[in-house]
Amino acid sequence: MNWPAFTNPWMLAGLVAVGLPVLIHFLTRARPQRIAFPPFKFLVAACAGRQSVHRLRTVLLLALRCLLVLALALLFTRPFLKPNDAPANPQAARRVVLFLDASLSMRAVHQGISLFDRAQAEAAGVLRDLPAGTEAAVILEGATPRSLLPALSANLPALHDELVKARSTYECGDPAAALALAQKLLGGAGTIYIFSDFQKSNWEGVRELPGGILCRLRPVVTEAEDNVAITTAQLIPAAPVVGEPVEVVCTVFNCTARPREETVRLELGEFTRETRVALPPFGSADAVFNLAFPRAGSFAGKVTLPPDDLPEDNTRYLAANVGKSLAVLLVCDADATDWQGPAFYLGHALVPSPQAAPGLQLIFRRSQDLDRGVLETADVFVLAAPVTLTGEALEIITRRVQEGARLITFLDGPTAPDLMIAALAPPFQLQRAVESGSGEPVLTGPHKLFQDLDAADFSALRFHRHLQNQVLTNRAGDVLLAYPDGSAALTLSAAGQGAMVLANLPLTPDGGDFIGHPLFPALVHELLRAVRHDAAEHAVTPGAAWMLDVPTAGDGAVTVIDPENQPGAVQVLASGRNTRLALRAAKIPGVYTVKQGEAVVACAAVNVDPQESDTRPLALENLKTGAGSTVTILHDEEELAFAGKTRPLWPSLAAAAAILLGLEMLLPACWRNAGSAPVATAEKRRAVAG
Amino acid sequence: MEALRTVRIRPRGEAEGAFAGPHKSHFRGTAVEFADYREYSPGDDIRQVDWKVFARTDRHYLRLYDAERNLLTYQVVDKSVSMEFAGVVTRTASKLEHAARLAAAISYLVLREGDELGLSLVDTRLHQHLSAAASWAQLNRVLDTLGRLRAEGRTDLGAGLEQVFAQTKRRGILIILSDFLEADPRFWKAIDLFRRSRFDVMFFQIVHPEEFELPAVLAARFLDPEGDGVFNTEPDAIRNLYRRRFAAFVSEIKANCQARGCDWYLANTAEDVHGFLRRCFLAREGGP
Repeated sequence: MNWPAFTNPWMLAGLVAVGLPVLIHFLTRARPQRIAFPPFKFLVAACAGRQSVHRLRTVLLLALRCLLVLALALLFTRPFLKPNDAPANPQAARRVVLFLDASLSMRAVHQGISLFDRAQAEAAGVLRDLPAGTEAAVILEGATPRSLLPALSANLPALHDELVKARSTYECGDPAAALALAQKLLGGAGTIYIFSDFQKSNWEGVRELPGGILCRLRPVVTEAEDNVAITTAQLIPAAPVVGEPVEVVCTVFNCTARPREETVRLELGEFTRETRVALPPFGSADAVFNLAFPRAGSFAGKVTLPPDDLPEDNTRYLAANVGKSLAVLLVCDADATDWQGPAFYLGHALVPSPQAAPGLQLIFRRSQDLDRGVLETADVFVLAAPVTLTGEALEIITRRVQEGARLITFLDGPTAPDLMIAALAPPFQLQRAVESGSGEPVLTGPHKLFQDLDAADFSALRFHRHLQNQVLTNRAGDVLLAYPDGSAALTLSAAGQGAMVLANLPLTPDGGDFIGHPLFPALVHELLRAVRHDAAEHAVTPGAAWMLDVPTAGDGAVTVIDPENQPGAVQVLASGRNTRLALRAAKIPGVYTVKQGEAVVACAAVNVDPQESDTRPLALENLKTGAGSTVTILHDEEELAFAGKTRPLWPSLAAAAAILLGLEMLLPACWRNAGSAPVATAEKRRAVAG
Repeated sequence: MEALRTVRIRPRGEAEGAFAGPHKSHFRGTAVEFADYREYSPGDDIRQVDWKVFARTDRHYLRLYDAERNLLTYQVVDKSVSMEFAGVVTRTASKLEHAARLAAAISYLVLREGDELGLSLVDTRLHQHLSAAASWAQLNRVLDTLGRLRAEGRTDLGAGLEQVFAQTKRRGILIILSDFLEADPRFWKAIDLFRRSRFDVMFFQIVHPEEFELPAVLAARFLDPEGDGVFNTEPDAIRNLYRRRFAAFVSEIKANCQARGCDWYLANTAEDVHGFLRRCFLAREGGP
């Protein structure tokens, strides 16, 4: 808003009357009468300190009277405030888009009402106040922006009906896409009202507001809601087998400015666990649950926190598809009973005893004994040089790893280059063999394998030979262990949907003292665990279309049941040993169950996007303004109501004049009662006299 | 004067005047009230011998009668400047004039009974003193003195009363007419001096109505008549506070008087002198 304008500016001449009370005060001020007063000392004693109060009251009364005259004089000029963001083009004022944030964070409850409901009510109010003939549209911002009507429409009542029927979503907002849609609808000129919580995590992705458009930003909340959320919940390993130790790692995020301690509760299958987690301000901490599944099958569950202002992100769903066993195919041309060869050590390290490696099924094959069946069913391939694979075997392994199988390759000797499968994008290139008589130590790389093991444990190891290699640019993060010459000793990298470990470590007694060290079996199992650990939670969020690979048997129809027990639309993309399903965007978070006939073949969890849990708002001043666009921030409902409108000031002035008049009458009466009273009657004087 | 026709000023104790009068005294004399017998001693007046007792007992006894003496009344009038106040809006006689009228009326009452009357004018000291006398000529002297009375000087009643005490020969009634605005400890010590000598002390506190309520003017520059103080104010704004403070002062004077067994009367300058005195002395006698 700018400076006020006046309907009757000539009435401003009345402002000179402001001096009238002062003039009257001085003209009518009583001349003090000189009185020699015998009880002078009592007068002074009784009125000590009252003189300044009296003088202050006089000044206050005079100021009140001046302000009263000022308010009355201004009232006659009928002042008003003009909007300072009125669009230059009159047509632009008649093209309006209401942008309503419908993302998950708008479900937060503030002062008993959800932010979305508040924004919706305010948007409906704006829509109702639009002048007839205005063309308007309403865009709901979610994962994909959606316009309630396909184009700008002058049918405001219909649009209003659609708006009040709109509901908030569980989706992660994409304000940039919604702004682009708004700009497209407006065609380059118009006004956008944006009702949002202006969540920093979403809005800082907006490079600039649309150009040539008047943007009125209405933040429905000014401070971050108190929110604690579970942002991730992972099973490690992601596809566990029966009896295998499994970790459920939950990341809890504290979006408040004070440290907190929260109780995290896990309900998964028949497991129910609780743990406490201490959270720093605006920071995260992990809660870890250890368990082992007693049987194979699909387990659904959830991790929960006590509810808060945004309860939707206090629950994270889990789906565990537990396999009967993990088939580990060890391929090595050395004899498994030859204690000089790698197969002997690897075999014993992987399965020291059936009790030590529950659920692990080790299959040992020489390269010439490999058949298609074993290659197609293995979950983890362990290739240990010397091994000479046929082209067909390499092709199957490559395809299986790209589809999700895991690969651990031990490189040593002359067959090592054959095991560097280029299609799996290894993180380094082999160069030449290097021999060191005294032995080379290994150093820990940027990617830690053991979270709680320091580098000294590895520094005790010595290797007499290795393959010198060069780590590719931008792949240094994949290195777990490295030699002093910079060659990678151990890497872990993603390969298609699977993962791959390349171990540039000799597995023979003459190659180093590694295989005889107690660390060796632990390292092998940790590698097996790490290679089966998805780098990130396989997250499916509401609002995004998704695919699901499920193990099916036969030709029975596959159905997907959503968390509300409603069957969902499914399209089968590929079938075979696994069936790949394409599903429509999930609307609500929860566990989706895949059935073939009546049998549950898999389940999958859909969870809200953790980005929505960070409710800290963006400083709106940081939003970049597009070329030729004007941005106004509407801080409260009053500013929203008068946005773009001429605002009369006479009601405020009339109220002010009434208040001033009331004060002018009330204050002297109060002061009179407090400081003075009518002259006492003769009877009272006699009473004093006794 | 008609209003004061039935009014008498009587001492609460016994009179100690030098001459015979209407008031009971502790002296033995020739009044009609029989008091006692005493054995004759040579030199006694034989006219007082009770011959009937001599006839019965053959011994000479004298009949003794109470003596009735006149009353000594000392009036002390405060003539300091503070007594000059006569009001601003409510104009009445000044406090000094009112005190003079009261003193004149009391003088008449005293002399009418044949009692002796003295008059002292004090400010910071004893300014003028008329010794006690019982003649009508004394009334003329008193009236003449009161007629020439002018308010002047500051107030130190304590010093003035001490000097008055030194001038008194016999006990009687002490009547003080003042506003008592400067009733300091020395003043109360002087009062105690009189009370220990068994004087009846009567306070007439002279107050102008505007001293109770402040003058009803919009703005005033109040001056201290006995000092240099100046105080500008609007009386309406402070009237309540002042009124409480002044009432407390009057109550304090009254309480001090009553604690010492003195009579205290508040004399409003707006009231009629004779009616006021009649009411005061009748109340003192226990009348209506």
